[in-house]
Amino acid sequence: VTSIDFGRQIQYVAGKAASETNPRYKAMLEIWLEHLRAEAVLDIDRTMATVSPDAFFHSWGGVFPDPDGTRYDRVRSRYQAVMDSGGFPPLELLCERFFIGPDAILLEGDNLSVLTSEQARDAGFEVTDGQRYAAYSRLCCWVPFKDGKILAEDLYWHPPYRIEPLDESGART
Amino acid sequence: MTVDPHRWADRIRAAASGERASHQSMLTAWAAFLDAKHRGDLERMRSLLAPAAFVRSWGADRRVPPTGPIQGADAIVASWRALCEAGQPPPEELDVDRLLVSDDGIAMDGLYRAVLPAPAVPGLAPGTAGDVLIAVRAAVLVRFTSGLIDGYDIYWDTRYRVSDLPVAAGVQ
Repeated sequence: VTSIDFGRQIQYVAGKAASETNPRYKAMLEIWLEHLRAEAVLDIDRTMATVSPDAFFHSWGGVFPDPDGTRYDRVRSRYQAVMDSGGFPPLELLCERFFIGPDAILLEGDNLSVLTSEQARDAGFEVTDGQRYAAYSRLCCWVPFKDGKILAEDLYWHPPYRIEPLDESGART
Repeated sequence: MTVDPHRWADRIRAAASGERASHQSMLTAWAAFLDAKHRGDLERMRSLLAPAAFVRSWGADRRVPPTGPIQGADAIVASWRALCEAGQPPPEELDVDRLLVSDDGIAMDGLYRAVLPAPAVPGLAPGTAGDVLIAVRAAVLVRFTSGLIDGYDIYWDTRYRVSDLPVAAGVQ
């Protein structure tokens, strides 16, 4: 029985940062780690301190349409809106693949989120009314860097393709 | 907008020159696979694939068969053979923006361009016939095992640009 835990994704990146021996790669991983930790504690200034002023975020795949990309000011306002509403909903990337190079990090795997029965039905699944579900979507996340800061979180998404019921505590059964 | 089927493989080969041997091996194998696809050389394609190789295609408009996983080298080659038998191998390229190499794979993304039969392109007006030149954002992640391609995942955006150039003018 496992809950959806963004903290495990943070731990995954922390593990990569701890074991990285290339100083440039280690610095990139530590900046992204700081970004993720600041997101998790809803600290907008810490979050945005890791982001390049030239930021240009993208979301591809049709799940979160973002036709023109998102520049720094809108990135900040979006984070602010999420934090003002109490933070991100439960999310966790189950990292299967990891790449790093001189200018970017990439993580790929299934991304877990929570769907109500109504949301799951709208997504095309057969559901039990009132049940909550863990939804598995697919995510390929590129994190390019510029001058030591995050230039983007460029996300390639596939919509939920599998669901599992959650118990009353929010754990996957 | 043009499609140069050699450009993708050439870009990968160029990146290989500065890499250590294990990375060079993967990059040159992928470039050889792209070359074989373009030539319609099915046996060369098969020789570069692990027997259990897969192709998975991701993106919101890829949810329904037949665009699900292709499992096995034979199935991958057969799917390409079907395209080749319907005409020439479809000219395609990825204009690579970013390329990363790990110990067991390569990842790249950029603008994918291809000449495709109109019915194969989601979102075109019903009844659109002939071939069209499309451009779509895509990422390709390739996994290797024992020097062979173990499979690859393709992530597609849903927004296509369709060129109004005559196809003959769009292919180099």
